[in-house]
Amino acid sequence: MTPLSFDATSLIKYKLSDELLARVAASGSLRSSSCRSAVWRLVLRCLPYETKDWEISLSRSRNHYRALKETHLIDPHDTKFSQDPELNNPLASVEHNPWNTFFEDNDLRDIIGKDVSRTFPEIEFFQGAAIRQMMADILLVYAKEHPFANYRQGMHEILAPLIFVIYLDNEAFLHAKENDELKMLTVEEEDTLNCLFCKDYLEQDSYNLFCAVMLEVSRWYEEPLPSDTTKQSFTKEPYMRVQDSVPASRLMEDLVDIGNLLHEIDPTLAKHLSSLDIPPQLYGIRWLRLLFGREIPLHDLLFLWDVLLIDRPIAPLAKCIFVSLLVQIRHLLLTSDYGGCLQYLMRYPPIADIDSFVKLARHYRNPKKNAKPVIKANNFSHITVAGSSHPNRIQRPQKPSTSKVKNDELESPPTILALAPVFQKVKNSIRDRSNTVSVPTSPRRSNEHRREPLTTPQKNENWAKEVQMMEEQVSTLQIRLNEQDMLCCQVSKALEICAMDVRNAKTNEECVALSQNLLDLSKTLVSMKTAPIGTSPPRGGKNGKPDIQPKNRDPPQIRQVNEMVDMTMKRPQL
Amino acid sequence: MLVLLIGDFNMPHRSANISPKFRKLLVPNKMQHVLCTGNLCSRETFDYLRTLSSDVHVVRGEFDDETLKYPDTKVVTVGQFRIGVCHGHQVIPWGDSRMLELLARQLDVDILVTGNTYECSAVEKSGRFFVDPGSATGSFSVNKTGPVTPSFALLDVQADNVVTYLYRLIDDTVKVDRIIYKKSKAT
Repeated sequence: MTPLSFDATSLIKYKLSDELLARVAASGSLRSSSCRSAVWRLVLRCLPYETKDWEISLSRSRNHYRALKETHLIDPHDTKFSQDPELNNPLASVEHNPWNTFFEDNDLRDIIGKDVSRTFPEIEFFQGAAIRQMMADILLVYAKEHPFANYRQGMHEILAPLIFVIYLDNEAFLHAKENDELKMLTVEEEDTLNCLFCKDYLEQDSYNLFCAVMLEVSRWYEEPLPSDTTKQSFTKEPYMRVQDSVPASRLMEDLVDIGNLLHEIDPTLAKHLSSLDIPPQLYGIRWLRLLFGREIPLHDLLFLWDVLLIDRPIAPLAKCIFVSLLVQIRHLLLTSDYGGCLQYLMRYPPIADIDSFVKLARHYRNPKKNAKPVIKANNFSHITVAGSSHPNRIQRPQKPSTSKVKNDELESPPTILALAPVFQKVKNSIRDRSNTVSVPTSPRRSNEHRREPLTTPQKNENWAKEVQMMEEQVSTLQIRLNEQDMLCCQVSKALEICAMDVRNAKTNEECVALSQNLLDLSKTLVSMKTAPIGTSPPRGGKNGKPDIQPKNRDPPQIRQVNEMVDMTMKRPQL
Repeated sequence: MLVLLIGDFNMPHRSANISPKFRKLLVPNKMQHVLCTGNLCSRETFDYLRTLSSDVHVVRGEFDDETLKYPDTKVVTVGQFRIGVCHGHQVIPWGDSRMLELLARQLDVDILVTGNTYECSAVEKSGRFFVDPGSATGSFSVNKTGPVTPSFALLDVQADNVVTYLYRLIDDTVKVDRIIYKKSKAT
């Protein structure tokens, strides 16, 4: 059975195996879990599957990093070096002078420092001096320890999410401990988890995880071998295009493969791009080297990495993700010229529904096993991942819509009718999402209908744009629904546990504690940002508090509708 | 952060060149700043200093060309330390410790670098640090009998202390001394 929610305690509870973790990762339940870092370490073999071996393995790897740091990060002022000024001074050229290595590392340190200070500028976590220092140290130690890979730009963007994930999990574990959520564990089990999620070892653990990830990714950072480059310089012809040259490195080989794969999967798109002379070699280096870190917003990226890291070697799935990224925006690419295409590829429009995107990538990876999902308007084409306006939208206002708008104006003046399919889609998609989610109640739909005419009629010429906006909003709502699903699953699970306890409870005090628990649960349900459409009232009823949830569910729903209206009203002013 | 203190070359008037032993030590990409106490006496010497670091500060010695418009004193801030540079022939009597203290107070510096004595030294006095890099070429001095030892100094500026390395060329071998100066909390 696939666990619905996978948290720190499940690491102990379940018998861990590749299949289990693969199912967990694919189901997306790691997104809300507090042990993603542990799962990554497990699948990348930084940790053994046997929980009792964890402490030994962890202490070994942490000591290993400490030793490496001591040998590689040299501070000439350290008292362990000879204090004789004749031997230990900044200018002496004698052997064993710590200053020599210090000066050698300085250049590398400068390069790393520059890159590290540019890591995820939109996330505050990476702006702290301590975190930056930690990243720089890890990268320097890695570069010195792996002279063949050395340091290349981009590695810092691989490291950053790893640190982030480990940090979050450590914090979540501390929080859980404070809230006494680990009661069901024995002392030894709790010690094991304490050791795993120890705040003091963030740097050591990050280094070890980074090394494991780099084992997979370093193939794309390799420089072309010198013998290959000399061979290539002979075969190089004037006016030769980048895609025609003999691939000199594994990165280029993979990009050629991707070009071929795209041709198999989507010949129209491949032809369009090759007619514009845009091969994957032009934009794909960054995509692969950063594992799509700049194409997908961080919170979705982590989910993508869940799926990616478990499917080792990651290259085949990475290629499929690459192609799906292209197929995902095919409608934008096919209608754009050279400049527009490049803009879309260099600044990839954010994906609205990562779930179906991942399904698409998995479908390409294994078409027989994974069904192809239906994808519509899954990208926010008017913004970039960083959140600013997409350059394609600023430069050229949408042309293709104009003719269509005229037709629509002639045929169907009342906008409600024209918008009906969108609502139909909302309804269908919600119904499709999962079984726990019920069909939206009729008051909600009528509510939307009532409000629509207020906003659209004055701006008839803009309405095609608005439909597109609506589609994008639908995808946003879908994401929210997914999140709600997950929350509901968790709450229902907690309720089940409570029910068990109620059955076993004997004394009055226990009952009081349980009722307090239940009240807390109901509070979490109510305090959710948006209303959980599919909460399971029967379970709540079973536990003796039937009426709290339905009452409180209404106001957030209205707010959601208001939000949609607000967005559409803002849009024409842009 | 490494700061090279060097001066009183008097090239080509009194000396032909810096000792090759010193030239071997002074290589680019190590020092971040060069503070020169003057008496370069030629454009070539300045160019040589520029090869060591891109940030070179020079004050005027009595034999430097007036037209070059080197300032008499200069204050450079490195890390948390204010470093004042002056050749020292303006301070009368020459090399008098109380007059140098006065100058350090006037400039409000933690470290005062002066030349003109042709004698390498580094002393701490009343919370301030006084460094004299001596003469880089060991050229003849009017107020000193006997041969002059070629020397220069290097400051390793850290967060709250400065390690000074004094490089002297004695009997054609380089001798290094180390003096540590800690900034007192009061200043």
